[in-house]
This record gives sequence, structure tokens and C-alpha cells, in this order.
Amino acid sequence: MIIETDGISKTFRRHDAVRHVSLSVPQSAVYALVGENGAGKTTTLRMLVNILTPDRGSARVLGVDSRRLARREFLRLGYVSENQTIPDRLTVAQYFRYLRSLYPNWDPRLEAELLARFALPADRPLGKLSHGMRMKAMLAGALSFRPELLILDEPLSGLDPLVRDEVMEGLLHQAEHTTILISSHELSEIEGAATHMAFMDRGRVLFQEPVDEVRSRFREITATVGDESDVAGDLPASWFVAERSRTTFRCVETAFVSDAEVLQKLILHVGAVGNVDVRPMSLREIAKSLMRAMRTARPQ
Amino acid sequence: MSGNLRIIAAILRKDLAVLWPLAVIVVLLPVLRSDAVLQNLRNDNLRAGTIGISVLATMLLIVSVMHQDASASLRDDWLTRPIPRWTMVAAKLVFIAAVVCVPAMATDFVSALADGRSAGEAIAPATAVSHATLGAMLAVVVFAAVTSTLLEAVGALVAFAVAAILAQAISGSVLPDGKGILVAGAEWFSFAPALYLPIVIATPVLWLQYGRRRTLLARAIVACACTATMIPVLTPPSAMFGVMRLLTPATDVGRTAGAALAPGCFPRIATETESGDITDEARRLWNSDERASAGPRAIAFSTTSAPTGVPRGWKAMIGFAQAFFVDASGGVLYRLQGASAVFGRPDGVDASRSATHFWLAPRNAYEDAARRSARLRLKYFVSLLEPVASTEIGVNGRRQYVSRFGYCSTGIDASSDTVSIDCFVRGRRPALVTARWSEGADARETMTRPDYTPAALPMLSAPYRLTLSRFRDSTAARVTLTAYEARAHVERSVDVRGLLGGPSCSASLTSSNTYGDQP
Repeated sequence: MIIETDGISKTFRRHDAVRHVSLSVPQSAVYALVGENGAGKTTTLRMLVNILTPDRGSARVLGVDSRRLARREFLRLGYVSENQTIPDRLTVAQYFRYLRSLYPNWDPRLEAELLARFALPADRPLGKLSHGMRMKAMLAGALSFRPELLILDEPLSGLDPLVRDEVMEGLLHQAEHTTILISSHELSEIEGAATHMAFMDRGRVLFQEPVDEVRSRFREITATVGDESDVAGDLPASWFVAERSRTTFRCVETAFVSDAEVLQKLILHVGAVGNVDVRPMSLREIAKSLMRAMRTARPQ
Repeated sequence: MSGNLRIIAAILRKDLAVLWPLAVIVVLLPVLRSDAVLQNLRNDNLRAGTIGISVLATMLLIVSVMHQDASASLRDDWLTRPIPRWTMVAAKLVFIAAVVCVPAMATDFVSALADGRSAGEAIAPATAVSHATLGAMLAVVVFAAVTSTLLEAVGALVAFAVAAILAQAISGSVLPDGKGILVAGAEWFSFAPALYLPIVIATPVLWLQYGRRRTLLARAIVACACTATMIPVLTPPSAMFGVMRLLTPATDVGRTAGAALAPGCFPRIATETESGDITDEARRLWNSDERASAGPRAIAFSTTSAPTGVPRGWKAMIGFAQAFFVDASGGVLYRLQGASAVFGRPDGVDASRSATHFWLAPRNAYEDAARRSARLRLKYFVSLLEPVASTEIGVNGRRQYVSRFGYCSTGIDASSDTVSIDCFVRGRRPALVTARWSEGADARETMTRPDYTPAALPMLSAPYRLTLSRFRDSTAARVTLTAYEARAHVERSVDVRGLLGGPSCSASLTSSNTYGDQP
């Protein structure tokens, strides 16, 4: 594992921002850390790069205790955050000249390629770039030394769809051999690239697994039901965001095995059903339904 | 170039690229505030403004350069770049040294050379980074290190300033010795925490902040240090004097010296005219607050005391004095208000022969004390200084090095018709330096402000200046300089049976206790 955390926790004053988080990020994975704003993603990532120190638990990043990350590790680790502070008065060219001197492993050709791909104006001060351009500049600054591990904290937040695609394309194009840990509350942009996914809510990781497994066990179920049919007792624990209108029952199955089993469960818990539609879900839909479910379950 | 040096160079280039306009101003400011320029600024406000802007710009630059790569931040780019944290600290300190210190030193050096001083002498003030400068710069570095934005740093500084002002205000009402008493020569006590604490805490704070990223703990240390700097403000003058006494080894002179009320008459001084107006003398001696607190028809009088048991040639300098009405058992009934015109003098009172103080009491307190047959107790805090060196220099404008006194020259100032003696000594100067004409009729001497900084705490490498009235043969005459060192700080009481300040001498003058209490 390139990142392995063991029950890390962080409390700010009396607020538990992160609670006993254990993550395992395999080498070469594109690992999506998903959750609503305030779920604890940023705090978790900051602990991984030693900006914050865990109050409890420990984390190993690139084989080193995260609290001991030093120059040697940062030569192999890139970090980009949407709210990162960069020297705004430097021009793009000055910023890259500065970064170049910090990394013996800097690849000037890759830098030039990225600057061209992202169409970054060399003579414009960073402070005068749009949010999208700034993110591109930071991403280019994190990719040009070919890091083994790239940690991205909401890098696509606030970007328009076109820029989002450009950034993702640039990222995935250059980072073939790089492990990427990316946090987001939106998954559409990394839908095709993510290999693993963890879902965070209120400082906890609710699950983490390969994306294929997530996709295979989540289904959206829509069934037509008769007027007289009624939801019988408790619904299965694997169903959530269940809702029923006069003739339709909808829910998300989180432990899908087969269509036949779904039908069986529907008959048992909902009663007589007509048409049953069992539809695979995209990562974005899965994330959205999870967030809705968490929000519903949260005490007001 | 080694890895770390390359990184330092990269950070310096980056910081300079961002901050060059401010850096240029700060590099040029030492020239503006150099003696050569300041002396030509006739307007005092302009001079003060130039110095103020210079200090502000320097502080702003230091805070800005630290915040370019803030350690207390959670967002700064450098936090996840391959920059060793101590390399970052080194880069920031190199920047400050290069942009703030080196230009200031170079200006001082060139300015001293232009003043006609030798390179050997000019290098001394140029390289003598005073503790005040170092302390102030490190204080700003420390404040900047534990904050991440200019707003935070300014907020912290403002909070500190407000706390200091409050402490000052509170001290006046809670200190038993009252407010506004300046102990002559003890300025080091007031300023030592502010000067030395930043030097003492800088390394641990930077280590915690950069090395361990323990921002809260680093901030706590800074807050404690800020609080500690206010201790002198909250220290009564008597306690301050007590500290000085503790730091000075006991000597025989300290044990035998005493004080006695000089023989004479101490009648009442009129504070109001018959028509109820304040007299000129009362107006001169006490400010309006002091007069108001004493109320109408207040009683005022003077006392003159002389030292006893002080060896010939020594100086007895009164740091401050107090007067009380005490009852038969010695309990304090009332503390009299000393004249600020005397107590406010920063150079203390030379009591080598005698010293006069003026006291003010509300009429009802005075009458109450008289009814209870109270005594007047005078308390003197005296520093005894021994002459340790003496030299003669001619009024020829030639600069020369004199052991203990430093580089000195004398020159005639035709505009004020005076002769000034300018000296510079690297490190600690003598506690007191006096100057007088070696021959001639004028026996008056002038003296520097006393400075009882303990030898273990070298304070400022500052020039000092003495001025003598000029007489006709000044150019042929010689000036005698004498250096003194403090050998004892003693507290002496003189008890007077009765209250003094009566309507006539016969009514109030009584016997006095000629030997003071031992400390």
C-alpha cells in the first residue's frame, strides 16, 4: 500500500473532524475519497501530507510515518488543494522557475508540455489567473516532477465543465504511473478513472473498496406496486433511500446479488409488484444516493 | 551549490520577486534616517515621521517575508514542497539580514566615515547590533512565525499593545508606590524583558513552529513572553530598586551610608493665592491631576536631605523618594504626592551634597496627621557611585579613543554657545559619566543619565553626549571626564518628629533621625 492509515483521528476544539479513519490506498490506484462538504476529507488529506498531525492513530505514506514526511518524500509526492495559497504576485514563469529549483527530479520537458496543454500564460501573475487557470497551474506544478503519489483535494471544485474535463484529461494523461488520491463531493469527473472509492460521512469512513465492487453491488430498483400493497415491517438493511408513491416503489440496493433475489425481497417487504426495473448506477448516482441517505439519517 | 543552499537561493529569489518594492524602500530607509539626513530635517514632526515610517516599513517587510511561506498556515504551498523546515527559517533570516541589517550597517559605516571617523571607529557602531534592534526584530519574526496573515499578526500586536496600555493604567491604581515614578538608571529593568525575551524565546518558538508545527504551543509561549514584558510595568518602584540591590554585591559603603535631613527651615509653600488662584510655584511643581487629587487649600512644603557616610568623590544619586505621614507605631497614614517636576527627571537627583524634594498633601490629611501627632517619614532610594576613571581631553574636535569612555571628541557649537562632548563606546557604557572644565572658574559639571544595567546584561551600544557652557578660552581649555560605576543601591529612611510644612519654621522644624535604617 502506498498509503495506509490506522484509525487516525483529529479533533478541533470539541469537534471531531475525523474519527478512526483507516484507509488503504494501493499502488497505482486512482482512489476517490467521496463525501459531502464537511465530511472530513480535507482534514484526512492534510494529515496524510503532514500539514496536520493526527491526535490519535497513525498513517504511513510512501512507507514513512506521515509525521516524519520530509524532503525525500516530498520529492515523490505532489499535493494540490483547491484552497492552496500560492505566491500570487509571481508570474507563472517565475513560479515554475522557483519550483524547478526545488526538485532535482523536475522534468522541464513535461513542464513545457503541461504549460502548453493547459495554455497557461507565462507572464501573467498567478493572482490574476482565473480559478480554473490557477488549478491548472498548481496541477502542472505538482505533475512536472513525476510524483509517485498525487494527493488532490477537491481539485475540480468550482471549475466549469470544460475546464474540468481539460484538467482531468491532463491529469490522467500525465499520471499513468502515479497513484492518485483524489477527494471530491462530485464523482462525475473521475467516473471513468477511479479504481477505488471510500465514502466519508461526519468524520468516518463508511466503506472503501474497488470501484468495480461498488458498481456491482449498488442497484437502483423501481417497481410498480398495487394500491393495496403495503410496505411490510422493516425494510432490508441493504436498502436505503426507499420511497413509495401511490403506484411506485423506489430504493437503492447496496448488496445486489441477482435480479431474482431483488424480486424475492420486493415481494416479501413491499407485497405484490408489477414491473420491476433493476438498474446499475453510476458512481455519481451512488455517491448522491449515499449522501441523501446520510442526510436523512442525521439527527436534525 | 549544495541542495540546501540552492533551495535558500530559490526562496530568496522568489521572495525578492514578490516583495521587491517594499524591500527597496527598506534598503533605502537607513539612508533617510541616518544622522546626515535627520540633522538637516528642521521639522521635528518630519524627523519623527521618517523614523516612524522606517520602523513600520521594516516591520511590514519582516512580517511579509515570513508570511510568504507561513508555517502557521494550513494552506501554504511550501508545506508540501521538498523544503526542509530549517532551510526555510534560514532563508527567511538571510533575507532579513540582507535587506534590513546589512544596508543599515553599511549606512552607519559610511555615515561615520563621512563624519570624519577612522575606519576602525566607524566599523564599531556599524557592526554593533544593539540588543534593542535584535530584540525588536526577533519579536516581529516571532509574531510573524506564529501567525499566517498580516491581519492576524497586526491583530496580535494590537492586542499586545492594548494589554500593555491597560497594564500601565491598572498599575497606577494598584501599585502601592503609585504611578508615574520613574526610577532613574533603572530603565534597563523596564526594557530588559522586552529586549531579551524575544532573543530568549526566538529559538524555541521557531523550533516548535517550524520543526514540530506545534502552533498552539508556540503561540502560548509568545503570549507568556508578552505577559512577562509587562511585569516591569506592574512592579512597584521599591521592588524594582530591590532587584537592583540584589544584583549589586554588598559593599561597606552600602552598609555605612545614611541620610539626614539638612538643617534648615521647611515652611509651607503657598499653593493658592488669597483670591484662590493656583500659585505659579504650585503650577510648576505639580500637574493639574496631582493638584486636583490634593484638593483645595492643599499643604505643600519642601525637604532637603544630605547623604552621610559617602566617601569623598563618590556620587549619591537618588533614584526616587517617597514621603509618608506615619503614626506612632510606624503605620502609614498618608502618602504624600511628590513633585513630578522633580520625580519626572530621568537623570535622577544628584544628592552628593544635598537633594531637595517637594511634597503635597490634602489639607484634611495634613490636619488629621497633625491631630494624631504623626511623624513625617522620608524614604530615599539612593545609588552610590564610585569614580573609576578620569581623563582630560582638549576642545580640538579631534576624535580619540579613551579607555572606558570609548571614542570621544569635543567640539564647539557656536549656535548654542556650548561645547559638546560626543562619545561612543561599544557595549555597556559606564553607569555615569560627568564632564567639567579642568580649569577656570566654572565648576559646574554635566552628567549623562545614569544607567545601572548589570554587567551581565550588556544593553545598548549607543553614543552619549555631554554639553558644557562655553567660555572665552574654551579652545585652549581641557575637559575632564569622569566615569562612575554603581557600587551599592540603598534604601534609607529619615523620620522627622512633626510634619514640616507649618505656617512658620518655628512651628514645624523638629529633630531628625540622622541615620537611616539598614536595608
